[in-house]
Amino acid sequence: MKVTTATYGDAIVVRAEGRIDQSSAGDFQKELSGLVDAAIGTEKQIVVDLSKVDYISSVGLRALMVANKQAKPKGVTIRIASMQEVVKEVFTISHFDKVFPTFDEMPKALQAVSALAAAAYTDED
Amino acid sequence: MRIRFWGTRGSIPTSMNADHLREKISAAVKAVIEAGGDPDSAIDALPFNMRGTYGGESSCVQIETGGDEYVVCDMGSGARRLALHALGKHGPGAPQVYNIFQSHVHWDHIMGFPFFIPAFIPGNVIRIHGCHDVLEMAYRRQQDNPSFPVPFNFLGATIEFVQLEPEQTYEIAGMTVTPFRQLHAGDSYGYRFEKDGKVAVYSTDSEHKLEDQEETDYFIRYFRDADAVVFDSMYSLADATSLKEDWGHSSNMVGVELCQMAGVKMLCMFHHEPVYSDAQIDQVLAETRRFEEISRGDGAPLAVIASYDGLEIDL
Repeated sequence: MKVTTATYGDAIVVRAEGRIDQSSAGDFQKELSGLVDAAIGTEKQIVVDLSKVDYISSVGLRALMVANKQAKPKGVTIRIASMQEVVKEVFTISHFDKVFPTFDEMPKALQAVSALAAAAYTDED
Repeated sequence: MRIRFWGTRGSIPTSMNADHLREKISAAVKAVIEAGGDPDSAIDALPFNMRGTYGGESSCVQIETGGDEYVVCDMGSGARRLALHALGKHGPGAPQVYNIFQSHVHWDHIMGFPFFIPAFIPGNVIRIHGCHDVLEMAYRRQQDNPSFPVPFNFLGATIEFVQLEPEQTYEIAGMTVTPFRQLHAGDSYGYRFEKDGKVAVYSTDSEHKLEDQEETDYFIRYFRDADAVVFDSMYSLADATSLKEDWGHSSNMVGVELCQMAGVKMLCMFHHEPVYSDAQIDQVLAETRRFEEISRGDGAPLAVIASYDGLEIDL
């Protein structure tokens, strides 16, 4: 699994790639945790782009939940964008779709963060 | 080896009220009329939540191996029906030996014992096995005044408490039995039962943190190649990792993943959330089967069932 990050206005976008499972969830969690720490106390929000993730296991989902518990009380929202169909199904089965705001496309997720984030993304894209 | 489920509901017994039953009858009648033809065939074709019910008795599961002695996991409210079954089969005048294996002594797992009629009948032998040192105290206390009118000492059967050690293997009632420690408030214990090449695992009231590889490997060891694992799948993964984290229960998804890692043949979802209706449990079952397909990879298929009061499975 590979994780990269980019900033669009006041949105920090985390792009994961590959499988988030037993072997990779620890690294994913560390990465997310660091980004949440960076966002706390700023106006920044987090969007996790899962378009290149083809599978996420319970441990991978738990990593997201741990990050959410760290972020939410401090006013940082984690949004999920662009899930592949199988990952979307896993979100539904696990009820994680009831915990995280989810968006079919990245521009919509960024629009939900702010117009500034959406505009920065459009300019760069 | 046969598994008989006498109680499958988690935490507290439940029952349908008149409105729930009317709703179920109404939906079933409409579907049968719409289907036309032979009513019995139409009823058989209905989804389980319309033609039956998962039931509401708390944990009680019997393992049958063809031997003379009874083997029973937990004495939840389902034990009352097991008692009626045993008395109907043998009559009250034929002494029997009952081996109980106690996961832990939370109330929903012992509350059936005061209504377990064989305990009142002299000549019966009841051996209550478990790893908790408070086993006898918990059984006696629930029948103490003012909680129950019949004190434990009044019971006519010979009742023995047998202390087991986790991770030790025992030969009991013609089976090899191995208890193992689980994550639950005050600890709980699962049991691996083996006989004639068949393996059944009873693992309820346990939380799992699969990110802890050592803990995961521990459970895989005791689930390994089982023909069936009776598994506490009470919550959704979202609940189990957020609001209900550290409540000592697990989820359907973790059940699938653990069983897949251990090469288990059948996952029996158990300890159903008491707020779930039959239709909701049917939905969880369908979603769990889909998750099994998604997560299977190159592994062998894992059968997934949702246990219900009265279900019998031959392994």
